[in-house]
Formats: sequence, C-alpha cells, structure tokens
Amino acid sequence: MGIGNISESLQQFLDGSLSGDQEAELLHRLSVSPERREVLRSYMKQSAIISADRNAIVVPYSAEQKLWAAIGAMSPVVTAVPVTTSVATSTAMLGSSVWRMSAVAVVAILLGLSSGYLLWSGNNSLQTQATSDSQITPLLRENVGHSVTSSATNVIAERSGIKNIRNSDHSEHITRQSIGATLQQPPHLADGTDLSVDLLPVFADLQRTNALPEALALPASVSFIRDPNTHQREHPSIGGVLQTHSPKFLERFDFAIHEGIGKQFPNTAATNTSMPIITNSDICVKYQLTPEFWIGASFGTANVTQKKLSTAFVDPNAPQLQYQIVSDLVHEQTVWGGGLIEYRKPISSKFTFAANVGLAASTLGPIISSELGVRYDVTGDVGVLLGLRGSRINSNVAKQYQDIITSSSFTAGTGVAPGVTDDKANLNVEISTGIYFHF
Amino acid sequence: MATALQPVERRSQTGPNEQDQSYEIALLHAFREGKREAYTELYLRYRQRVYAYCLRMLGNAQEAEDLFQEVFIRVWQRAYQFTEEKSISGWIFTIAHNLCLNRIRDRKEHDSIDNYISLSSSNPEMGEDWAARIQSALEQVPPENREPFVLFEYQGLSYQEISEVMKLTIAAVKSRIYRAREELRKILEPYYRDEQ
Repeated sequence: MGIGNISESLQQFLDGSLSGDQEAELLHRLSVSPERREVLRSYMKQSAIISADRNAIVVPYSAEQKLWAAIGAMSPVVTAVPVTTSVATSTAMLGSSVWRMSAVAVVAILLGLSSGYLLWSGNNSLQTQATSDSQITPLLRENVGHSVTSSATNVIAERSGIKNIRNSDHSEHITRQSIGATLQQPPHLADGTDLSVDLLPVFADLQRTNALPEALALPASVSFIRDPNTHQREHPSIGGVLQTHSPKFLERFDFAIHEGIGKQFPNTAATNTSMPIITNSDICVKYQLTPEFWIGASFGTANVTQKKLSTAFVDPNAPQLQYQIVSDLVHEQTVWGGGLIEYRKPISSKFTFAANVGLAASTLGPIISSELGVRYDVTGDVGVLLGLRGSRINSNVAKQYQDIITSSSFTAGTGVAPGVTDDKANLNVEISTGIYFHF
Repeated sequence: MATALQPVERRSQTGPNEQDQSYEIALLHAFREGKREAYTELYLRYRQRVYAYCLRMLGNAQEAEDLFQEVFIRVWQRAYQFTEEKSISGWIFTIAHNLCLNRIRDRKEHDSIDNYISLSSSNPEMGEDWAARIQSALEQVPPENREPFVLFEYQGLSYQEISEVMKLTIAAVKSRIYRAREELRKILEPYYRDEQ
C-alpha cells in the first residue's frame, strides 16, 4: 500500500467507514511507517484547521440587515397556500404601529368632541321648536279636569320618550321609579291621582299656556329637566314660560381617577412571589357623545407580566457547548395612554351601569382593555365607581426574537428552547375603583 | 488510537438526524401557514452554514453576502415548492448550489477568478494568514472537488445529501471529497511545517 492508496484509507479511517479488519491492518501499517504516520498527522491537522475556519466564519451584520430588510418588504409570505394570521405576525404588526394607533385614538376623540359640539350648537333651534310644539300636550289636555289614569300616564310617558330628569342642583337623576322619594309633594291631579315625573315636560307645557291648575304646581326643587335623548334642558317654570337651555360644552365632560388592583395571567411561583398583586392607575376624561355613549381618553401606569427572551447556556456546567434562546416571565411597569368608548345605562336614581372597551399604546406595546362597572352619584358633581377590568397585552416575542438574532453579539449556532416563540397574550384582571366629578 | 481519533467523525454518514429533519419540515409547514418566526428559526439554523458555503465557494466576501441573501430570499419565496422527498438542508443547499454555479459561470465570462481571493473572515486563534491560506488552497482545488468538500466540511451535509444536491452517486461524492482533501493536504503541508 503506497502513500496514494493509504491516503484514501486514512480518510476512510478518519470518517469511520473502514471495517474492523481494514482498520486493524491500517493501524499496523501506521505503526511501522513514520511517513504514513506523518500523512495521518497532516490530515488531522487539516481537519483541525478546517474546523477552526468553519467556526470562525460569521455572517456579517450588514448582510443580515439587508436580508431582513428585503424580507420585510416581501409580504404576504406565501400565496400558494391558505394563510392564517398568527399571533406573532399580529404582534409584529401591532408593535410596529403602536404610535400610529394612539394617534388614531386621539384623532377619533377629537373628531367625537368636535362633532358633538357641532351637533349641539346646530340643533338648538330645533330643540326649542320641538318643545314648543309638544305633541303630548293634547293628550294631557284631554285628561286634565278628568281623572288621569295610570294607563294614560304610561301612554304620555311613552310618547314623551323621557325617562330621566335631573334636579337643578344636579343632585338627582329622577326616574319614574324614584319620583316618590325625590319629590316631597308629587304632582297630582284634582282627583288625587299621582302623576309620573315623566309628565313634567307636559306640566311645563301646560304651565306655559296657563292651563295648569295651581294645585298641580311643580315643587320648587325641580327647576329644569333634562331630556336624555336630546341632551336638552327644559325649564318648566321660569316666569311661567317654558324655556330651553343648551348646556355648556364643558357640562358634557366628566373626569375620573382610577385605581385597580388584581392579578396577572399567566403567572409563575416567581412572579406571584415578587408581585402577588398588580396595580393599574390612571386619570381619565370622558365626553358624552350621545345619551348612552361616551368617549374618553386615559393616561396611566400599570404592572404587567411580560415574556422576555434572552440567551443562556444550554448547560451552565459546560458553557463552551452551546447557547440557546430562552424565555422567562417577568414583571414590567408600563406607562400607557389611549382612548375608550363607554356605554352607560341608568339603573336607579343614583346608580348607572357602565361598560367600556379601550385601546391604548404603552411602552410595552398595545393594550386592549375592557371594563364592566357601576357608577354611584354621591352628589350632583361627584361620584364613585366600582368595576371589573381586564387588560390584554402581548410580549412582542417576535420582535424580541428578531432583535436577538440580528444583534451583533449573537453567537452562531445558538439554539432555541422549546416554547420560546409561543406568544400568548398576558392578561391582567383587576378590581377597578375610582372617583369622578363633572361640572 | 482509534478512540482518540473519533472526534473527527462529526456527522452521520447515512443522512440527517430524523428528529431534526421532521422538526425542520414542521418549521417549513408553519412558515407556509404564515408564521414568520418559523422562517426565522430555519434561518438561524442555516445562516452560518450557508454563508460559510458562499464564502468558501466564491472566495469573495461581497459576492458571498449577495449570494447569502439571494439564497434566503429564495427559501422565503419558494417554501411552497418544497417537497418532503428531500431534507430541508438538502433543499436549501440545492438552492445555494444552483445560485453559486450560476454566479461562478457568470464570473468566468467577465473576470478572472484570481481577482476574487479576498477574505473578510478572520479567526483570531488561527490568525488572518490561515484563513487566507485555506481560501487560497480551496481556489486551487477544482470546483467539482471543492464543492462536495465544502458541503461536507463546512455545511455538515452527509454524503447522501451531497449526492442529492450535486446529483452524483455517493461513491463519486466520497471520491471527490477524498481528492479535494488530498489536494489541500499537499498545498497546506508546507505551512504545517512552518508552524512547527
């Protein structure tokens, strides 16, 4: 076996593809031939330097940047198969446009405010017209001087479309159910039949036309009523003439401070120990767009749980072996700001049900939140609220992943631990309390 | 003695690890369904090997960068063309192989290969000289022997995978790799002596 032949045998030996007998024969030949041992050493040296060269080659940062820029411009990914929207894709999309979304929220709020203002100021004459041409006056006239039955009251109330009124001092939202409690001397007809407060506009109309018997004069505490459908204040008794009143722009606002405490999901023993209770605080301004719907803007700060990616050794005892990307749940404090839309429905003279959904931009990405609660009017200007709020925020795993792999310090051959790229949303559930006031 | 030499045998000669292969195929399927992170993981698994292949085949850092990008863009664009008859590594390096051949063909028409022996990668332990020597030595190995050698040594492809990429028999792949090794040994041996 010459050097030429032994060269191939040595390579096969190094590849491990020689049979046992062939290997034994080769080892024997090597033991008696310094030249062949030199060839073997040469191959081993070559193998070592090729291995070192292979490991030394690092993908240039600029090449990776150019590649990802090119790929970023190529979307959708594949058109030949059905594409489902992944969480990570959505996260990346949302994450990249978080400030755009907050800008949209602000613009929406401004549009809402301005449209409400324009609608308000533009409809004054129409409201006055509607009041002076009250369609329910004939109905009452038919009954004045006769007994006004409950059914007649209901009919009138239904046609008037008025279900709530507010005292002049803003202290009471008066409903049909609460009239007995709020008016010391409920208006009644000559035969003693009580009238619903829903008939107050009708009384006002009668008063304007001097058709209301003195016995049925309205209590002094009720100097105006508000029609929730038109936001129109009606003063039933000012100099005996019904007048309309358009509330000021600021009267449509309320302001609130909220404080929430609750729990974050998902959580771990570590997160539960480090922060068993999370908090969420904000200040908020809301504007009444329609009788039931309000829009608002909030600014606050909250604790959230985030999934954080980092690199670590696969085996801490053998760090030379391999790095891998790992993840951990950690607490983060975020500052957020955004918009919301709220639905309110009075459920008694002092309680109002409220439900809202909001979208906010935060330092950790977009937050979607929702709240169900009850508002209680302590006085005409101040109230408190209690609710249950849920907030959802993503960890932006895809972006973190991209950041790690495109960082200049990233080590070639780094693996990925199982589950690292899962991007489940983090949820905060909290009891929300607050205080609000309005003009 | 044989035991002491075993670390040189770094890879399976029969084909890629089945678990790895099915995981990579699952990644490709996930990518087809729109999950970009699956593509990212595939990229992570292959970026270094693809770049090393491009660099050692072309010998020019700028060209290697261009080719590297082209390969991964093709992977992105043609993911739906992948069939499971091949391994992912075989498929990716077939793309790289074809693009590289085109590049070398174009280069021959326009310029001399001698102008392309420039290296950007350096190994602090080896020194700049060794990287240049290896590249220079590789340039002296005929491309038909150089490519299977690079695929084997730098990309970690098995003989089977190389035979699929280059459309050769396994015996021919082995023979070419052996020849490349022997040629390199002869070229580099004087440097070993200098080092000693």
